[in-house]
Formats: sequence, structure tokens, C-alpha cells
Amino acid sequence: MSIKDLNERVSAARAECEARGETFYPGASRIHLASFPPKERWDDWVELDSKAWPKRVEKRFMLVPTTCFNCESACGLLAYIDKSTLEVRKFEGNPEHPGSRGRNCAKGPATLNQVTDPDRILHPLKRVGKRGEGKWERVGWDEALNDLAGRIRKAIQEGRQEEIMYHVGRPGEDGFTERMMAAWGCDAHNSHTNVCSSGARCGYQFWTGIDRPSPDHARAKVIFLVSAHLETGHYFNPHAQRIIEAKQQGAKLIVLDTRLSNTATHADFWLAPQPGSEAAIHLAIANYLIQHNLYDRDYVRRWWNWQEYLDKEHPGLEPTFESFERLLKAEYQSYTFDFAAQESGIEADVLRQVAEIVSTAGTRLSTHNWRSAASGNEGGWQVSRTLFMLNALLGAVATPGGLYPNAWNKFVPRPIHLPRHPEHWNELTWPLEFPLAMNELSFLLPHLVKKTGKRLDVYFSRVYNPVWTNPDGFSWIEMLADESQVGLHVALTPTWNETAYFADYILPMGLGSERHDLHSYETYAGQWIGFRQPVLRAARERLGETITDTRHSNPGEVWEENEFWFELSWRIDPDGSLGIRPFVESKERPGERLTVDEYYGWIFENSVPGLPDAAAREGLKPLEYMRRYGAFEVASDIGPLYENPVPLEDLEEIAEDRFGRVLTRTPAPPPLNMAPTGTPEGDDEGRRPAGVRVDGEVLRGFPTPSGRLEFYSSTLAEWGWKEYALPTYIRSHVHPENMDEDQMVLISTFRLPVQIHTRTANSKWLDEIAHTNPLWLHPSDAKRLGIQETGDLVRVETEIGYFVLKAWVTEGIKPGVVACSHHMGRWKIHDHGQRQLMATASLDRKGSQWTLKRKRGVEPYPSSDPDTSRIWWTDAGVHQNMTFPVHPDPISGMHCWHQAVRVRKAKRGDRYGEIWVDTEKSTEVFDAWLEKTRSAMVYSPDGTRRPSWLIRPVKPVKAAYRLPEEARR
Amino acid sequence: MELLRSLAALAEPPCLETPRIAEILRLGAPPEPADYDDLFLFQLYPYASVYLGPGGMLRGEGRDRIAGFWRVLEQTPPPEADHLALVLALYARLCELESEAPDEATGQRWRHLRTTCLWEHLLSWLPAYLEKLQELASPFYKAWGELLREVLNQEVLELGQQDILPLHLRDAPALPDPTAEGGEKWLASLLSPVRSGIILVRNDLVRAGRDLQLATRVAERRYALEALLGQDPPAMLEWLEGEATAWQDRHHRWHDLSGPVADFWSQRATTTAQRLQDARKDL
Ligand code: SF4
Repeated sequence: MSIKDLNERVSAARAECEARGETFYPGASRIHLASFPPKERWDDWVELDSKAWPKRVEKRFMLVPTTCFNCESACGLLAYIDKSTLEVRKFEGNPEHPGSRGRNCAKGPATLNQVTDPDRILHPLKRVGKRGEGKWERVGWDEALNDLAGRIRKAIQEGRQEEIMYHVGRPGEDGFTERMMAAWGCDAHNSHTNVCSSGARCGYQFWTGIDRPSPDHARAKVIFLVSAHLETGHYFNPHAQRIIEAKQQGAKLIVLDTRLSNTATHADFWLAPQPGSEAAIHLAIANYLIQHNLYDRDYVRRWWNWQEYLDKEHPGLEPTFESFERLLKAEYQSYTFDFAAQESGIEADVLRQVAEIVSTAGTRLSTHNWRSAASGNEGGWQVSRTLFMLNALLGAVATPGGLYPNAWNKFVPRPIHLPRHPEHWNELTWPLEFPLAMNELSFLLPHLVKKTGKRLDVYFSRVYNPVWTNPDGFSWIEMLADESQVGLHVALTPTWNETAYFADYILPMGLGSERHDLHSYETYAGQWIGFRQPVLRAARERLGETITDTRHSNPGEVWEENEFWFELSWRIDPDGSLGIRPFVESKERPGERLTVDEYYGWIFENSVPGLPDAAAREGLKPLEYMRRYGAFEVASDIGPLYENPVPLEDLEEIAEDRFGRVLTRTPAPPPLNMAPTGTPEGDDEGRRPAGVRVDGEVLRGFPTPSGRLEFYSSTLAEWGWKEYALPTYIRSHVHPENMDEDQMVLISTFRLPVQIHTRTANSKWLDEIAHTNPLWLHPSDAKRLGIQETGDLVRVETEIGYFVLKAWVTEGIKPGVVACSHHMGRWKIHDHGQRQLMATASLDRKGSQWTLKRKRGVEPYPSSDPDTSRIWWTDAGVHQNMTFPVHPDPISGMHCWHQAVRVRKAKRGDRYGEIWVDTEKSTEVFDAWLEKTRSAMVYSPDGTRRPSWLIRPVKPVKAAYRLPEEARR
Repeated sequence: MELLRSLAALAEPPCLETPRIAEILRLGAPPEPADYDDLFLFQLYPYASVYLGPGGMLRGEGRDRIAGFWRVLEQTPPPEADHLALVLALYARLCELESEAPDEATGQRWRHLRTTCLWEHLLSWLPAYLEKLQELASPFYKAWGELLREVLNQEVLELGQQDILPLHLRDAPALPDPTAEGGEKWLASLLSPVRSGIILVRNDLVRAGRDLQLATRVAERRYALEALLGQDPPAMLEWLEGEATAWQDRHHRWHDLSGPVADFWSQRATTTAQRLQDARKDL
């Protein structure tokens, strides 16, 4: 066949293929530098041993994937397992992972340090002596499990379910333990989310019914970040690589960050606003779009719930879109650039330029706020809400380069057993004062325990360190040390931490390469699942061994949580009388306990579309496929799902309200994807929401009560917050008008790029790079305060105490604002601890007054790792969070982190790292903030504790939502 | 040109679409991923910079020049701008733009760019590359290489020869003089095809070890070559000389296609053979 004929043959085949709606070519290029070992060679990969240099010693490796456990991005890792010793020699990126695409941040490969850390906990420990005294004995798993199971069983039998609590930091998985608590019938789940991201979540949830954003950075024209995401954020590596990709294609990057962060240095526009003024900036941009008719009118008409707004707030007006537009213009006209300039300290002209750029983005505007301003300020939830408004105005919602609700860009498969709903309501986590809180009021626990007189019988802290991470750590110590308040504290942790010192049991759990979990994260407009697995177990299984318990392949007696919870649940309900047993029972072998192989094997075979076929193509079972490759892309190119028509067969006996919300009697099919979303109510006649009518067609819409994007939140209006029913600007607790003349704003929420809260303290490579957290101070402020130079000691006074640290005089911070990263200041009071990054301190109490003083810094020490005797740094930073009182936002429940502080030159006798706090003052501040709340007892419009449509990690039965009897009376 | 685009797609790792494209092009049974890995990841890296750069390595000047060509076309160069698949796809697009040009002047402009792409960024290295590929590839990739050669031939017939040597070659430094430059640099330059005129892949070094009964080290090529030379310098120099002499002829086989380019490469191989012979005599 001639070249010409062949050419025609290909052209014809392509045309034919594309006419069928298929793609002919493989899509985006998949070539990459030959830097990843090809997967065909993962069983036997040869490399030279770097340690043997200059000798050339060949090493043979087996490459086994897992998922990083250091932050929630869930990047893929590849463990290089030395075949001669069956030890992990290094971790690199997993090129088969669709989210991270073979790349990691520094923390991923540093997993190796955590695995080989000489200070890690290898055996279950039980307290001897007083709680907090630092004396421990080694116990067997059986003893610990039986003790725990007996205690929990008794509490459940006696109806004291609310005395059981599981308190988790970053879960690193999708709902496993939530389901386990629900299986126990306990409303026991308590997360750290209210010290983390509730503020931003709240703003997103009120608009879309889904509480997380998922920007499609790679395809954006304009990227707008209210955070330091490129360098350190929650989605650090997967987002950073996509933001840079977009920049290479010419996208403009706008960053709002009061500090000159690494992210800000990459921006085309770096805006350093007065902390708390961010929403004013967003609204000024929104106003510019509105007043100049630069918004997508048709999109707003189709998707905003403007009809409901007119009906409820302006019933006298003609219910037309034109009326709404007039109101919209009037409502936002006061948010001028001059107003925003006055609030933020940024010139009006600069704000105008930014607005002009935003206006050119069309549907390719990717915005993102996570923590940062939304977590710093009272009313911070309006920061994300007003930011999303820009997307909603431009129609840049679930479009290429736009912003998606996260539930559409992640995939949570259905598990083998779906648990029941608890029958009680836990008021320690969901108090009546915060009916709209996004998550559990976890950081208030010591105050709520004290105030209500309730107690906890069994309290699990799981890879979480509230004493150190939460504000007001001394109140946590007071609670944890008091056995009348906490009967038994079990710390599930791979490493020592400040909270574990106050535990009764420390149970060592596996690190990222020593445990099973299933995780999916919104990274781009696609869906993937990542499988975390104990890599040595997987390697030995590849070599033909049968391993049924992860402890047999982990170091020491380190276990993993899946097997731990299965076994504990099994022992809590040995005879099945509590109804827990069926949730951890094998389907294949009734009467026997579920194994991890069956648990995940079932999910991969039955709940992940496409995975069984992909596995079959390689002659593998789905579980084998996931053990071999570690990740699977379930879907790509997700579009605007809300525009999808609802199938006719789902529209049986429909009812429709006057705003087009369509309800159906057709039962809902079992959900394929269990990613959390809002669950709007049906009607009293048993119908469920099916969609929303838009221009005559019933479309899927959003999981909000109205089915539309809720510009107007009837939930807020009805639950007592009418003044915030629309996206608006709330002046923060650190707004200049709320501070004294001599106070400054302290920003305490930022990370150091190579550390992650307490989780990486045992990573020597990272500790060597980052081991201090000085106070960022502008030269003009330094001069005013008489601080001569970087390194001078300063005292920072908060409402409840003070801390002493070194100044870093820099122009990288706005004048009048100081900043200190929360990633440092680890301490230990006894011998146990992470010696690479923990100072040794003394802890003293006089009534409600507490002092923490640094006795010694970090020092070199002999251990199984010769590097520990080469430690050259002494600093470990200062623990500032302990000096912060609790600031619960009355709506989102988020702890508002920013502090109004006084900064002074250190006084005579002040020592570096010193902390002083009066917990009586903490209680006063807690009471003052509680005054700001509007309790469900008074404001509930329907006799319930909380709008049932809002997301809640574990949802109790309907009846438990009813307000307590005395309130109803 | 669709055929070129599909040949480009086949220079990427095999995937779901590969069997279909292979079948349409009548290239025989589709490749296994392992065939691809062996050829493109372990032996014959499909990056122009490896063959055109003075260091014989990825990236560097060779890649930058090709990236510059993307920029001339007002395109953001992809990170791997010099990967064969991308350069072929780019060339196919240029053919398409020429055929779609609204007027003759625009068409001429596209034709000029197309000619530049062909001579500067494809023919400057591909003949030598495809020559080596025939020796190493599995039947599928052999057929692929053969077809690509025919297509290039067709393009040359249509566009004619370029008057001057491609810039990559004009600028390429010659093989250094081992007495002046020192052994290490000289050794490294043997592994830079554009300087030495020979392509030595991992398999070649294993073959050398086998032929001469020397121990071969699994390592980067430079180290492996050094190790071989260290064990029996005269034998290894002679073996290399044989390779260089063979390459003189191998390049010549492409003279009909690439004319002065083939001469350039052949000349480089001749010089290398000479230098190796001198070195052997000096021992
Ligand atoms: S961003 Fe870094 S720490 Fe987070 S999962 Fe990825 S590699 Fe791990």
C-alpha cells in the first residue's frame, strides 16, 4: 500500500471513529522522561547502591506502591524494597497515580525517616503511675483489646454511648472509622475540622451543598488563591504542579496572602491585605462584575435561586430576573474599590486591575480558599462564600478551568457493609449553641466537659495531638489529666506526641507504608482512588507468602487501624447481642471476622466502575491490580453534572414547588459514589428531591434545599442569621475597630513547606531543613517596638498569656501584622519523645496558671541511626497555640485563629520558648464567644437541633435530631 | 498528515488505542509494553537532544533549540519538546496548516516552517536513530521504523533538500583530541552521537563485553565503557574502531534520503575511527 493510500486509510479510520463519538488518539501525551522505572519491571528493578559509592554495588528492588500519609493530598509513593533484606530503602513517586503523577513534595520521600526513626513506638504501652507521669509498661495487644472491648461493651449496654469518643486529625481515608463508630451505634466521631477548614467549607456548602472546592487549575486562565497553596497548602503537590502547568500556558496567578509566602512569590498579582478584609476584596470584584454587566446573565438566571430570594425577601416585587438584577446591583453597590481599599490597605487601582483580569477569565476562573483567611477570622466562612460568588457570577462552575464542588471530583466506593445510624445525639461534639456548625466543636471539648458535667469513659485520640495542635492546650491537659473527666484515654499513634503523654494506653499504628486505607482526593476534573497498603506485607505476598495480619510484616508490634477496629469490634460484641458483629463479619465465611483482603477485595470488585475490567486486561484480580499499581482513575473529564437531565424513569409522581424544585416518588438508586454531599429533605408524602426545573427541563442540580446555587440561604435566614442570608462581609474579631491601638494581628495559621503539623517531627531530613518559627515582623514595627534586629527576643501577649520567641525582621509581612508558623514548638517533659524536633521542657501549674519552660533544646544522641549523633541544630521553635484562647465562630463553628496581640521586647528574665497561660482567662474568653451564638433552643424553626440537610460525618437517626424535651417546652 | 500523526502516537507508550492504530497501519501484532520499555526507555531514548547535544544526554542545547522552534510557532513548548512523538505530531500539524492555508502566501509560510522542522529537527538525527532502531527493535517497532523512513523519504521528495546543514550539526563540536583534552572528556564524547558519529547503547556495551570476554558492569554507559576500556584497552579500542568504521557505511546508506546530513554523520564516524586507531597505536 502506498504512503498516500495509507494516509487516507488512517484519515478515514479517524473520521469514522470520531463520528461514533470516540477518540481515535490516546489523548494528552503520556510521555515522560525515562525517570520512572517502567511498571513491567517493578518486580525486579536494578539500581546502584548510593551508600556504597564509589563502589558500584548493584541492588535489586521490588517496587510496591502505597499512598503518602503525611497530608491529605494522598499522593502516590513507590516503596523500593531491597529484595535481599526485605527492607524499604527509599520512597519515590508513583507514576501510575493520576493525582500526583509520580511527583511528591519533600514530605513524601521522608516517609522513610519515619519508618526508620529510632524514637518510634513499636509496642503497645500501658501507663503505670499517675496519668502524665511518663511511666509506661509494655503490654500485649490482647490485654489492651480485652480491656477496651470490655469497657466499651459495658458503656453501650448501659446506654452510655455518648461517653465514647474517637477524635481524629487528618483521617487519610474516606469514612472507614466513621462507619465503624456508626456500626457501634455511637455518635462518637470527633474530628479536628473546626481547627482546620470548617470556615471555608461552610461558605462552599451554603452555595453548592458540598463543602469543599476542587479547582481545575491546569486548564484555568485566571487562578485566584486565598491561601499559600502552591507551596504548602492542603493540596500542595497535586495542585502546585497543575498551577505551574497553567502558568506555563499563560494563566495569570492572583494570590491574597498577607505574608510574602513562596506562593506569593510566584504570583502575577500578590495582594497583601489587612487580615480579615479578604471578603471585602472579593465583593468589590463581584460588584465590578455586577455593575459593569460582566457576569454571565444567562447562567445566573438559570442557576441562582433568585426566585426564592425575591419571594422570601421582596415579595412585593415583580418576580422577574430583571427585578432581581436591579436588586443585585443595589445590594452590592457599596462594595466599591475604595471601600475595599480602605478595609484591606491595598490601593483601589490595584484592586481594579485584578478585577479586570478576573473579568476576562470567563468560565476558566479557578479560585481556591482553604484555611487561611477563612480559618483566621470571625465570619471567615464569608471569605470562601464571597470568593465562590465570583465563579457563580462567571458561570465558572464545574467547567474546564473552573471550580468544581469536590464531591464530583472524588470517588468514594460503597463498602461491603453499610452501618446503621446512631440513635442518640452527642452534645459534647454538636452542642445546641452551634446548630449550623460545619463539624464537631472538637476544640471546645475541655470547656464543654467542664460546663456540662458530662464525662468521657473511653476517649481515643487517633494520629492527633490536641494538646499541641488545638488552641488552649493547657485546658486540654487539665481535662486529660483528670480521670473523673476522661475515664480512659487511648492514643492511637505511630509516634510520641504531647497528647499521648496523657494517655492510659499508647497503641502503635502503622505509618504510610504500614497500613491499609482507601483514599480519594479532588485534584482535577476526574476521579481516582488511591490505595494505601503495608508494603512489606504486599512484597512478601508477591513472593508467595500468605499473611493474614499486618503485624506480622510491620516492625515490632505495630499494627494498622483496619484490622485493629475489626478485631476490637469483634471483641466488643462476641455474641452478636449488640448488633455490631454483622458489620465486621465475613460474607465469604459467615461466622468469621472480616479480613482486609475481603474488605478491599469486595470494594474493588463491586464498587469501582472500570476497575475489574482494567485488572482483567492484565490478568489480575481487582485487589491484585490495586496492590500492584496503588491507584486507579475511575473517571476523567468530569463536566457540569448539575446540567445533566434527570432520567424520565426517575420522575414518578413528581411534585414541584414554585421555584422549580422537583421531588419524586421513585426510590433513589443506591449511590455509586459516596463522597459526602448535602442531603436535602423530601416532602411529607415520601418523595425525595430528584432535580430542579431549569428552562422547562428537569436537571440534576445541586444538593442544596433549592437544588440551585444558593445565593440566598434560606437556612441561614430561618435559623436566626437573616443578616447573613446573602454573601456579605463580616468584620473580623481582629478588625482594627475591634482592637486596641497597641495591638497587632498575629497570623498563626501558616505552614512551613517541608513540615506538616506534628506528623513529620520524626523526619530527620525535614527537621534539618526546618526547625524554627520566628516571629515575622516588619522593620517599621521593629523600630517602633525598639527591636534591634533579627534574633532579638520578643514577648507576644495574647488574651490569656504570652510566649517568648525570636524576631525575624522582614519586609515580607505587612506593617502592623506579625506572623508565626504553627509548625514548630514541639516539647517533651520526660525522656520519651521525638528527640530530633522536641525540646525538653518543664511544665508547672499553680492553680489555673501554667508555665512551660524550655530546659534543653535539641541535641545529638546515639541511636541505631548514626545520623542522630550528627544533629547540629538545637532549636525546635516555640509552641504558640497554647497561648491562644478558643474563638468559635458562631455560625461555622470554626476556631478563628487570628489573634489580637501585643508584641514587646522580651522582659528581663524572659527565656526563649517560655509560655505562660491562665486557664481561668481561657474560660472567660470561651464564655464571651459563647454569647455570640444563637442556640437551636431559641432559633430552631422546626424543633430540630440542626438543619438535617447539612453534611454531618456521622448522621444519627431522624428522631435524634429533635430538640431535647425541655427546649421544646 | 494523519499518517505521521499516527506514527507519532505509536512512539508513546502502548495503550488502549495502540492495537487499533497498529492494525490500520498494518504493522503486525501490537507491541507489548515491555517491547516499548526495552527499546525506548532502556536503549534508544527517543529524544533529539540525546543525539544532537554535545553531551549525548537529555535536554540541554538540543532540546532548547527545538523548544525555540515551538516558540516561533507561538506555542508554549511542552516540557519534553524534543521527544520524537511530539516533534512528529508537530510536523503533522504543520502539514495540515499548510494544506488548510487560505491563500498562497500563508501556505508558503507554513511550507517554509514545515521544511525547517523536517530538516532541522527530524532529519538532523532521525536517519542515524532509525538505522540503530532496526538493529534493536522488536518486529512491531521495526515495521514502524521502516514505515517512518518511507514517509520521511516522501517528504524529502516533496520538499527537496535543504541547502545548508542543520544548525544542530553546524554547531556540534568535533570529537576532542584525547591527548589535548584528557581521557575522560574524550570518553564522554564517544557517547555523544553528534560528536562521534556512532550510537552506543547499553546493549552494545554488553555485546562488547561478550565479544572480548570482559566483565560488563550494569551502570550508566559512561561508567560501563570506562570499565571495559580499563580491563583491556587495546582490544576495546579496536572494538570501538570497528563500530565506528561500520557506522561510516551505515550513515551512507541514508545518503539518498538526507544527502549532506548523512555525509556529516559519516564523516564524524570516520574521524572517530581514525582517532581510535591513533589511540591504539599510542598505547
Ligand atoms: S503533598 Fe507531600 S505530604 Fe502531601 S500527600 Fe503529597 S507527597 Fe505526601
